Amino acid sequence: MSTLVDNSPVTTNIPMPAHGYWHRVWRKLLKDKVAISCLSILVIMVLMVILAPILTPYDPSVGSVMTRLKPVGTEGHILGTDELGRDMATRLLYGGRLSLIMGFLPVALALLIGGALGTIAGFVGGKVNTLIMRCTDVVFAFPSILLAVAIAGALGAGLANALLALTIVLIPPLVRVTESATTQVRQLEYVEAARASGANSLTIIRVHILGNILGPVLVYATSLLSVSIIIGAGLSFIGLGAKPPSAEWGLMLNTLRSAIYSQPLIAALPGVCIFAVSLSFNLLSDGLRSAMEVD
Amino acid sequence: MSLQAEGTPQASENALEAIGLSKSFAVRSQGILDKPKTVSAVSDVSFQLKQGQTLGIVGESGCGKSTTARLLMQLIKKDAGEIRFKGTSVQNDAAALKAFRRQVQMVFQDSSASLNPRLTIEQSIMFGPLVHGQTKQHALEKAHSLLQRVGLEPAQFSRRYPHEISGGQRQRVNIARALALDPQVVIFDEAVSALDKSVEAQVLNLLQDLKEDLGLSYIFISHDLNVVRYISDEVVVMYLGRIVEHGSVERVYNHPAHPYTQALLASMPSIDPESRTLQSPITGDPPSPIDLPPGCSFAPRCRHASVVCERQSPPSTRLSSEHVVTCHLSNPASGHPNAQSTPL
Repeated sequence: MSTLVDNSPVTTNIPMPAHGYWHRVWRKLLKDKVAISCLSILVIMVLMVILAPILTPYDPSVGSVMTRLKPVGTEGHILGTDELGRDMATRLLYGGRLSLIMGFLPVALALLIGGALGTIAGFVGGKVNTLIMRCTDVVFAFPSILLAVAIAGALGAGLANALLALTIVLIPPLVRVTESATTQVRQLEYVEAARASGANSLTIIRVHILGNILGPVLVYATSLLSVSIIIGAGLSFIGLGAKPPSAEWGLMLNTLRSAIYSQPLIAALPGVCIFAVSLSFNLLSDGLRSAMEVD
Repeated sequence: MSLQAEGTPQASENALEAIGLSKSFAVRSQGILDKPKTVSAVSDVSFQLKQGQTLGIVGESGCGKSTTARLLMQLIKKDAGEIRFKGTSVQNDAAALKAFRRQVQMVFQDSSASLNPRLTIEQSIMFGPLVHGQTKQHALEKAHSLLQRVGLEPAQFSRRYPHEISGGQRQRVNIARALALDPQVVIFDEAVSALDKSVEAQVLNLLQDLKEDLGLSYIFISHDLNVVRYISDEVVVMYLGRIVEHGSVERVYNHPAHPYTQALLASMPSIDPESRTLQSPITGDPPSPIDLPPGCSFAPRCRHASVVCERQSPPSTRLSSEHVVTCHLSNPASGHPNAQSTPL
């Protein structure tokens, strides 16, 4: 046949970059000062909390009546002592362990369960979608704090029950976000093309759906970390989470209530920690969201 | 390495055959007491794609071209009809579909939406062969040789992501992806429509070369009459989900028998000032495909419409061995006042 146009191989002088999506997201995130500061704060906090026994010589649950409610800056107790004479810095470090676990563990569990349900609902559609989404709506209709209190209260006080209550509360929003992301991706032509290649649904979800919904779902999960920490601290505060004498930021806020007039700064310290962590997670989530708009 | 049948039985002369394909979609009703309505997207569509040929499907947007393509690929379930691959009816079970999809592949219109943005080009091409159980090494070699074949240097392009290359290059990747399973039939759904004219010409030439080298058969769907004429052996004209005219490219383009085809061809842009169209030969929009009235669906826009056109839908009339038209005008027995016994 006659050739109208030269069909020789197309060449360009752009070098082959081969930078994946996540690589580009990371590069963009690095330029976001706020997000990187928050990420650094969180990484430092996690490290400090893990290395607590090395960082402090005190036992978080042993105090002395002689050293009750020493102010911030006291020699040997840089952040003062609490109402039972225990070192505040030590209590905050050990308390951070429980508080951060209250943040991460329920979100991770809810991400697994809610993510799976949402992906199935979004990919299969139809009646399965209606069933999953309407059940989700029922749970979602309750205000999350009230629901967490109700579940934890019904199950009985204790750390495990509080974690379970948090997980149940966090599942519905994650189902929703995953479902809407999956529904969007499912309609794209590359999913149709994959089906036209003869791939089964599991392969399509694994190769083509998960990679493309991970971004928005992760952003949302990051913002849920702060919700989980705050509700977790709230449960401990009202006595449904961690129990004395173990250290936990919400519980510490509660026990230090009596010192609010004599040592307001010390009474506020656990609150400052909760605030800092939760704000950092929120700002990091915002930064991630804008970094993911790279395409 | 032509796969063209030589002396094989007649049953396999048709690479792909559609018999009475129909599909309607439910429309969400306005109130809960309203009867659910249906849109007939494709109704009673039949054609044969002969081995080694190209069948063009033309029509304006919304006429059911893409639905036909998706029905052929069995990406959506058909309401009625039958699809035959090399004379054998394609069953609707998973194993048969997987085997069918190895033989029949599709290239989509939107070159960027049809590539997964998280996968490199070679990963996208390798996906099909891997799904069909080929080894990674084999799939990779296949991907590289196909990239070379569609004119993209593998060393330069294979590790790129879809957003890093141009639309024309992406469509070449999509073509390579469709060829990765060594299919015998490729369906192109507006595959060149989104490309600019020079790139379009390159891709069309590539398609012609591939067809000859690999012994492929094509179904080529487009709204662009010039492109369809250039690439096709036979052409099907669709209007509101029905085939109105079907025949060889020479017959249909030179002696269009259906008023709709005549109007379409008259509205074709031309660089020849002598044959420029001065006014639109066709006015108005197609009627709503929801609950179509009886009669010919083109009648409201047709210059030749008469009473019979509004009452009865026209039957197919064979004008010659390679030309079929669905119009009362061409059927002397129809009762249309202007009906002709000889083709126009």
